Amino acid sequence: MGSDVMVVAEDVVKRYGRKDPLAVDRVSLRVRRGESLGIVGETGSGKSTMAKILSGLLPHDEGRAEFDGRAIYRRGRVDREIWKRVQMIFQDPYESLNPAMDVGTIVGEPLVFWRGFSPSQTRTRVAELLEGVGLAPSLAQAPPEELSGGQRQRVSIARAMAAEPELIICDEPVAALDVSVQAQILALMNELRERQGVAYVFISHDIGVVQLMCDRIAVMNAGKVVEELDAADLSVDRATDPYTRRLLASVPTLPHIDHPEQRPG
Amino acid sequence: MLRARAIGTWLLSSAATLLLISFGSFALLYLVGDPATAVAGSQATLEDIERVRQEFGFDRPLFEQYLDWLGSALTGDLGVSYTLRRPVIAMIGESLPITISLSLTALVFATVVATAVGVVAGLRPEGRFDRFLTTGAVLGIAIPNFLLGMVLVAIFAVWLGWLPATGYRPFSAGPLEWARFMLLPAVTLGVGLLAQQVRTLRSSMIKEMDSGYVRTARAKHLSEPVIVIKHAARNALLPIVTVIGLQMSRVITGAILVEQVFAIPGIGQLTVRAVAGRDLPVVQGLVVLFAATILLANLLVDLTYGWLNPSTRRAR
Amino acid sequence: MSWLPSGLHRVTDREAGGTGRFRRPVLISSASLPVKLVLFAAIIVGAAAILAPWLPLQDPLEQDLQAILTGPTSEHLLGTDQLGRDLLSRTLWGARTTLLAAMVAAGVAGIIGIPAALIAGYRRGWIETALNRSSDVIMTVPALVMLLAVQAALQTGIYGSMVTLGIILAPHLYRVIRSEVLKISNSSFLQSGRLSGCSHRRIILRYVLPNVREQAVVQLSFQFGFGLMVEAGISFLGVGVQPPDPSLGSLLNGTMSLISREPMLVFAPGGVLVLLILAFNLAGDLLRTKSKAQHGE
Repeated sequence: MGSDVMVVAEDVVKRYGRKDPLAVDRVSLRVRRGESLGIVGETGSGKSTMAKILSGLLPHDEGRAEFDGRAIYRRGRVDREIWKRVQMIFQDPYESLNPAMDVGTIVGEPLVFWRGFSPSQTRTRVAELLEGVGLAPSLAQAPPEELSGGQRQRVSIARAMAAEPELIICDEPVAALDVSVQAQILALMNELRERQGVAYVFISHDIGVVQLMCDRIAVMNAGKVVEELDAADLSVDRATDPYTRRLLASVPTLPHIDHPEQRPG
Repeated sequence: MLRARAIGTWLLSSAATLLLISFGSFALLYLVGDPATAVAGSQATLEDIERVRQEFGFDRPLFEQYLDWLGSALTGDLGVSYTLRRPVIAMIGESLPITISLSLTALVFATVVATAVGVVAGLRPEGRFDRFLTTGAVLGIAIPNFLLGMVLVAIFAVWLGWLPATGYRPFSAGPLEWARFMLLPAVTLGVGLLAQQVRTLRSSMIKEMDSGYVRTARAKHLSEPVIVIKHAARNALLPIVTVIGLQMSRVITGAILVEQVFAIPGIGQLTVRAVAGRDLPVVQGLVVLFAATILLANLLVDLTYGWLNPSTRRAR
Repeated sequence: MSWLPSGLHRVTDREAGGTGRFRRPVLISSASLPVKLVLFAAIIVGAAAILAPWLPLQDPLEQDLQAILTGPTSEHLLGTDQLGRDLLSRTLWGARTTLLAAMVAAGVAGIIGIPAALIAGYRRGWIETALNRSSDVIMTVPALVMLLAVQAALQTGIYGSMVTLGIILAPHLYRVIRSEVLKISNSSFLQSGRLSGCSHRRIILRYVLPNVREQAVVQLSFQFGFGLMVEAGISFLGVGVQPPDPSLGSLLNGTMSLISREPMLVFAPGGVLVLLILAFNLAGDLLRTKSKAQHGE
């Protein structure tokens, strides 16, 4: 195993306000190369906070968070180098693309800043990336406001893939999308994983989605990881933790019924 | 308990703000604006100016001069006017009541009228009265009050001859006489305030009439006047308190200009004379006075708001 | 995965999730007729004022004591003042001064207020606290009072006063823009930009600035209107533009006693002043409504 482990989180603690309960309470996680780890939990369980910590967007207060043996934060500041290898996809596609830039610039930025591409190399690669996520290369000139929700999320995926990362952290990437579109985006993400060998940390409140996407699943409740199991073991009979069992019991059958209005924290 | 604490923090932060402002304006007036030239006057020779500089101690370090000023100010002594050789505090004391009576009359006029018409306009948004009023408010905000004052004088004093054009009579000269002279200036000053208040009231009234409790009251078949007056209007009036507080700055600015138009010997005229004559101690005193007024208005808004709005009073 | 035919997503992308194109209401067509008329008139008058030096106008300073207070004639379209100067020419030249003065004030306010808001809202920390505190202090003194105090100390000309006014107005702009910047700083598109490797500089210039631009234009439009009012105010008080030079405020100074003899002396500069202030306020309102509609508020 050893060098196979990419992400190590050990006893990570995060609190927002001095009086608030801990948002993340001594969480320990591991992500292996090429693996897909799901984190499920309800709104306010700390899963989104954990996503931000692992992606270098939010320094934690205590504990150890490392990517490939390097601390993600040093003295409260992120080690920006990790963003060459760790990327993130956000929940709301209407908020995660800069409205003041065209799609090509959004997707091209990681190429220029992380991989030193020239303008012409960038143009070519952006077209390839857009095609790779099922978008017409001509969309590069379009502003995000002309795109639909699903198209926007494809752009987000293309942007994240541009740096050719080893790990993508996905914070509820389909929760804000229409049911029919969800399936397409999930299929795309699975396909990319098979093609590029990228690892995922996949955050969702929807246990059905996580089961489709992930090899291993961590269940979070009130800032703690209450149970960790293989996706195959994710059923009411196999789960040991009472919270996990309740969570599973509330999902009737698969394929899941969706709640687009539900907003996770 | 909570209220006392709020006043405590207000006192601390206001004192800090006033200190900063008084020092800033002192530095501006006495460091950047050369006070010796102001005292000596425009006819003075270089020797005169130098003599004044030493006599008045303007050659001392600025901070020392400021501490002197501050020390006296804390005992109620704001220095002596350069031009009139009179204590600044006495000059302010004479003109302040006049400006206060002008401002209060204007505010009362504005608030009373705004409440009446704002509530009515908010009942039928986009109705004829509402449209008329909204247009009027836009105009009222755009007309500088000194211009409005001139137009009102032209109409009511010069043309119709109903009211005196300019001047001021104290209340002791008889309430009617006072009112005759106060009417035009107060209306002039009040129109801008009125326009802002109407806008706020109208929109908050529209919001209240659309709220859940009004619909509940209607379902209970309460009479429409009861709903409007007892429920909606009371709540709609809340934002007005904030608006009036924020208008203090506008009242002061407006009073300076309106007093000039109507030749009223209030604080505004004192300010303009002091600036034109470079009477630095007077200017310094006035800046601090105005800043203190604004800070006090802020406190009053907070207190009134808490008192009027039960939901902020009751801890939920 | 086998549960979805591979490649399906490649071709079809008619998700119901997005509305496709956002509606973009054209600014002017959304205005009512009177508003359009005001804006149109203001543009004509404003253009005439700015172009005054190149228009066939009479010298605004040339006196003709044989023809004082003539009222409108074929030679003087708006009549003459108490010294026989052409009122049309003086009004347009005056409007020019007032417009340029307000432009200086709004410009200075923007140059100070916007960068301060960007830095404070994006970097936070002590610099934000310091800027918040100083803007609170500046806003405690009414703008006109502050301006008069500066005038007492420095005796600057009108443009000096307007630079000062810009400094005084900057905190108002700062407050509004900073709260916009705070919203953007928490947005996921800004975080995407950081993940993409953008420098702080690029984030501020390409992510934050363009997205507060609309709000800044709205605020600057209101401040321009306020600048017009303040210039007129201080020149009316006699501490701004000095006679005989015309500005909309100085033209109104001293005309009170003449208002019954020659009302045009008040109504020409006064009318232009109100028209211009009205236009900037209405434009600000329109822009604000438009940006609210676009952001679905």
